Amino acid sequence: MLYTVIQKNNYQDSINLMLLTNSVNELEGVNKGQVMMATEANIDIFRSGGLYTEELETATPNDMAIVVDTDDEAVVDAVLEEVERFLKDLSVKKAGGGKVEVDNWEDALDTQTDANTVLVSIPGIYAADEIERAIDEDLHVMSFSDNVLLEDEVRLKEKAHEKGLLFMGPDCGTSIISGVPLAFANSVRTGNISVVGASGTGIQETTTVIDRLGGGVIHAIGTGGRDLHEKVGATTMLDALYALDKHAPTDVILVISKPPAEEVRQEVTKVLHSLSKPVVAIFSGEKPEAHEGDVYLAYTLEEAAQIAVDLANGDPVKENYTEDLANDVSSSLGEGKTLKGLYSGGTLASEAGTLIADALGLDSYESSADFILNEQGFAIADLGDDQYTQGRPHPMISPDVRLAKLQEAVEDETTGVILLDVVLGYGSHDDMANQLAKPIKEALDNAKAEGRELYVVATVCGTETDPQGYDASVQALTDAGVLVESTNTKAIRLALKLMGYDLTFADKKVVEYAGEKIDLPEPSQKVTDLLNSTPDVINIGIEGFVDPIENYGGKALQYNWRPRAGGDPQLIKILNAIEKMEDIQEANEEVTNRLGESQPFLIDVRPAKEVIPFLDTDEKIVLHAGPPLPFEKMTGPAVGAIVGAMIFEGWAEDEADAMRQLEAGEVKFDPCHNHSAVGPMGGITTKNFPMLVVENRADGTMGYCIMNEGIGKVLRFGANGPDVIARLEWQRDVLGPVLSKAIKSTDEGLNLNVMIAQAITMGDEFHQRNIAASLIFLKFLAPLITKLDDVDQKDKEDVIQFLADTDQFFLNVMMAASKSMVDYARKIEKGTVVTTMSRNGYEFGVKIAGMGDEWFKAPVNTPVGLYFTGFSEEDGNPDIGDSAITETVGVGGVAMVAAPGVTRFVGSGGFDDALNTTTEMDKVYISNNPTWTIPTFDFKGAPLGLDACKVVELGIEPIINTGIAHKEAGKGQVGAGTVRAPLEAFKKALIAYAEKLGIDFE
Amino acid sequence: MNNLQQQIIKIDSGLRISNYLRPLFEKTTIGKVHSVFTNGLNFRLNDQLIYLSKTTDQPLSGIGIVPLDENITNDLFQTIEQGNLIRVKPQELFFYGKPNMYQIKFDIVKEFDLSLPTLKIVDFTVDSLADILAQFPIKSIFDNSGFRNEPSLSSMLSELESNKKNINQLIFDFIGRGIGLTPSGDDFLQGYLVMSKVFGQGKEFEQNLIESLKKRRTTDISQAYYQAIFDNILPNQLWQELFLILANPTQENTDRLIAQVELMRHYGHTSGNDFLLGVIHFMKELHHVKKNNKE
Repeated sequence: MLYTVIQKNNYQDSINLMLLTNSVNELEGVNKGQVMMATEANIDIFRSGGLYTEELETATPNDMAIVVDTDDEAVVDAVLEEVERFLKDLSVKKAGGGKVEVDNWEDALDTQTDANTVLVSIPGIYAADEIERAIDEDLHVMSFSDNVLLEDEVRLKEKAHEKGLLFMGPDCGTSIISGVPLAFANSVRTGNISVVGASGTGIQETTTVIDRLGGGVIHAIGTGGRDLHEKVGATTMLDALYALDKHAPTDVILVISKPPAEEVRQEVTKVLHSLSKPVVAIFSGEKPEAHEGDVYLAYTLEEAAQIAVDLANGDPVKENYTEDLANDVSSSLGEGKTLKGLYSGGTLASEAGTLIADALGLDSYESSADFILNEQGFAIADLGDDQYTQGRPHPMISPDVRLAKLQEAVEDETTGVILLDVVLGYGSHDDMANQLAKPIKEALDNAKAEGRELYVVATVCGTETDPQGYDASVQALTDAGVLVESTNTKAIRLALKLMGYDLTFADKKVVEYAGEKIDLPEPSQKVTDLLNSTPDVINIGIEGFVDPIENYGGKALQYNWRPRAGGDPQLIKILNAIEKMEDIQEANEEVTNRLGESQPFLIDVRPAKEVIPFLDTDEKIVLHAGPPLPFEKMTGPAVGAIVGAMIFEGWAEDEADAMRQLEAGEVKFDPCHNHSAVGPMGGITTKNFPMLVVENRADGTMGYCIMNEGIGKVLRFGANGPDVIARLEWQRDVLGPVLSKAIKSTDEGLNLNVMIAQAITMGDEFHQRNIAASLIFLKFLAPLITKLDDVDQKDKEDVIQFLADTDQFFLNVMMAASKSMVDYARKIEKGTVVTTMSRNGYEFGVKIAGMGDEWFKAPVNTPVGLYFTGFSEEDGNPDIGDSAITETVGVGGVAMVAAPGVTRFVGSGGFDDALNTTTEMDKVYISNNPTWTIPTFDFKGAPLGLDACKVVELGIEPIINTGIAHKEAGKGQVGAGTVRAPLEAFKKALIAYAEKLGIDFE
Repeated sequence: MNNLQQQIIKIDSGLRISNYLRPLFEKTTIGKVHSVFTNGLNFRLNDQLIYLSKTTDQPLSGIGIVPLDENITNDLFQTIEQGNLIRVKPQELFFYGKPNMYQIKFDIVKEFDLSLPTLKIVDFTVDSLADILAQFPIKSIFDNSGFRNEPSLSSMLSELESNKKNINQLIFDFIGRGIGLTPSGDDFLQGYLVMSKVFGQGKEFEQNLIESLKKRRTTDISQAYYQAIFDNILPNQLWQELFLILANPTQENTDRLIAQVELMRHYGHTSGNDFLLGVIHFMKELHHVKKNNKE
């Protein structure tokens, strides 16, 4: 039976997940299993592997999907334990490094300020966008990522060329820049040879042979396999050649090409002959009969390396480089025996196909999905091909695919020779030779015991300074009985010899080149700079590529990439388009600046009807939190509060009377936000509620909010008993008027920025914790209250006592202040800065500057947190209230680090959790508030200017600290915790804005 | 793309070079770094080992080059490793290091003729030889040589001094024996070899030495110095002055001799003193022969 587990927002590198899949499949009781990111392509792999389940359709590309086929449900727990152990082990390894890592472009560019190259190794469907971003940022690109569309490659290479940049790839597994290995490269001595190559293992084979011959390579520039395609036109190869021709340390250029388009071949040939330096060229599939002028044409990778070394040493090029084999073969196998080539390197497999076809006298041969060549008992497979690696690690990384094929080959009685490669270097398995040695030895021992003729021939592609060590790898294979040759060419010759074929190579002389030569263009300065410096790399994708770069003197920053916008192609298009609109970026900056330059002052406390004309009517009008909502959809706390407000206003005698009127539609509703007001939880506000009046002195924008009633059974949480009503009446009759008089006794009101700036250094984040701000508020007000002449002494005492007892009093002040800030900022009706976040218990609503008053809504989440004794999550009401206005201006949950104690609501509650929360939130805000600096955030300001683009791009849902109301009317607050703003609302806002802007994203 | 890390570090300096090496610098050749020390490095070009001094003030070696204007930075010596490639062009040394490469450009090349001079035995009397020998602080030279703490070497030297054995009998045992990259036994033999060739003596000794070196290997560096001397090249510039003084044994030159010996003693760790032990032994033998002939 199939079991599916979806782990939300757990993005992991594909190579890690392939290795994890292997580990899961080794667990007892697992028939088969697969762990992958739930991209559409991967879901297809689940399907083709017989592991498709409907649950997979609910997952997004940012979710990790685990599907296990097992007969025992208990095994699923074991699998999840293994997943946790494996990933924890990875995170421990990461933590041990103490290296800076980033997860977005802005941070990458800010951190790696001198970066000149981006190394991309992410799923191909996302690669083009990141490559384009890199090119737009004036960075060279090496893309290991494959499956980039040809038209994208053409476009991006053209763009890179026009900007003077080098785009190495896509599907480029190997490069060496200034002696620094990029991706799957070997540790090769630096020297006066530079390579330009269209293939990964082709570069690896030639550079390692050069090293072992005593030569050295300064650059090996991968071009990607399609660079000589007629549509691409060898853009990368030519740009590289122009620069290498002027590169002083390079004396010899070695060119490795896959079969080129004819016209491109002609163009490249002209350029090669026009270079000022000798060139060795190998065009896969071509068997040259002579060298031409200064262009030495090689047939095999081994020969190409040998000629290059002779040229580099200033020695004459020989007519023939055939050398004796290391293993002496006196006789060949009998009739009917077959050869199986089990390669991990694609170009090495291709070379085997070419040379075997040559030995067999075939003019041509067809490759199939399974085999490079399958003729006359010779079957050569590239086990690194997609056919064999879908959902499984590449055979250079893991031995599994090859061990399975090895077993198949051994079990085939006709098999006489098994030919294979072991590719060393960075990125490859750390001891592939020994992984293969044991089963090979068993097979050879068994064959010997059975009197069966079986040989295993291998080549090791690597150098002694590779992490795996060349000599140790050769020794491991030799000890197992493998006949090891020093190059792929020699291994193929030996295998052929065992099969009864003697492959020889004819002498080649140098003939004069009679073709056209051209004046070469000046190389790009940027490419010249790249070749004359050590690479400074932003590594997007496989983390293992970082260490080799740094070990060889380069610099590298790990960018822990996740699909932008969850991999949604439409949203990615929108993001790309908006990023390039300078006026939008300027508007975002302006809106954010407005938030930062706001000057909220508390200037009065007035009855709601006096400041909100909409309420100054005989109609029964109730303002509520969040986006518009009909009464029928309102949740318990709101309903409870409405009932209480109606009793408070004298519109209803009791709950039953209120409910009758409500159900009869006698009461009108409208959001607080439509009237410059905000209200906590239910946000219920009617005409006689005393309102805090805040003026934003930046331009006089007003913000209003009802006053805080304390905690527990209070109206805003839906409680509506007599005590609640009595407290509201006292607020209306005493607290409001007294505060009004006290505030108005000052010249200009109370400067809230000052209080906020002080309180944030004292541990408040202004949503869950306001005790410091409330005390500062009291500090300012108490002297003013005591000085009032026309207020009864008891009222003064009661007011001061109430303020002293109400730790959260400042929350509502902060909300009114925040409202005055966002309403000032959103007068700029442009850009993607979020100007409102609010919830009504049913829907979460978002507004962005560019869309004015329009709400974008998604279902609310239910808060997670701590519950008062006797209550549990079962009792909690879905998220509700306008108080997320605090997070909109960058405090509350966003500024969790200012109030580490509050982190207890989100789980373990350590300081690191608080810091991590704010650090995460900081990524989706544009700037930081220069006034509200947080000591525990290294005096960085609270985040400022929530950007819907960033939210959507990074998939980071803003976190909101909140109280939790009982879901039933009248029961009040039952806990406190955190809740995430739903991503969907931000996506809708962005899509609507893109439509308004006329962005074509379909 | 600001502040690109420059990979090629350029050093402009003239160069002093031994005439022995000059032909090797006339075309582009790829060599390999053989060994790196605090004050210099050796690299192999074709079959020739070449010593590059770090500072301008080092005496030019017969197989060496010395920067003329500017010391070579520590950075190069910390970066360059054994096995790194080096490209030699007529006016350039290019080191292929990681992460940095170093290009030493030398527009000015001052060639020094370090060919072995010729001195005639007849020009020296028993007394003049005795006077010369008296200027060598023999005990101090021995005490600061590699022989002092190597019993086998000091024992062999005693056998030579007491005429129990002659040098031809001990060549094989001296080769490669002792401390240092140029073992003390080799330095001794080279000191003796230089003297014997300058005075036109010891064809037999040279031939024996050549044959012995085929059978008994010493360090690559010693081997390179042996070969240079066989090719009539002095081990270093200091020897030139020594022979100029010896060719003209005036009182004034006696003082110069004392100073020159002192300079030579400080060449290398114990090499200078080891060389001088060979020189002294040759001079003693010559004195002995002259004296006996006179008698």
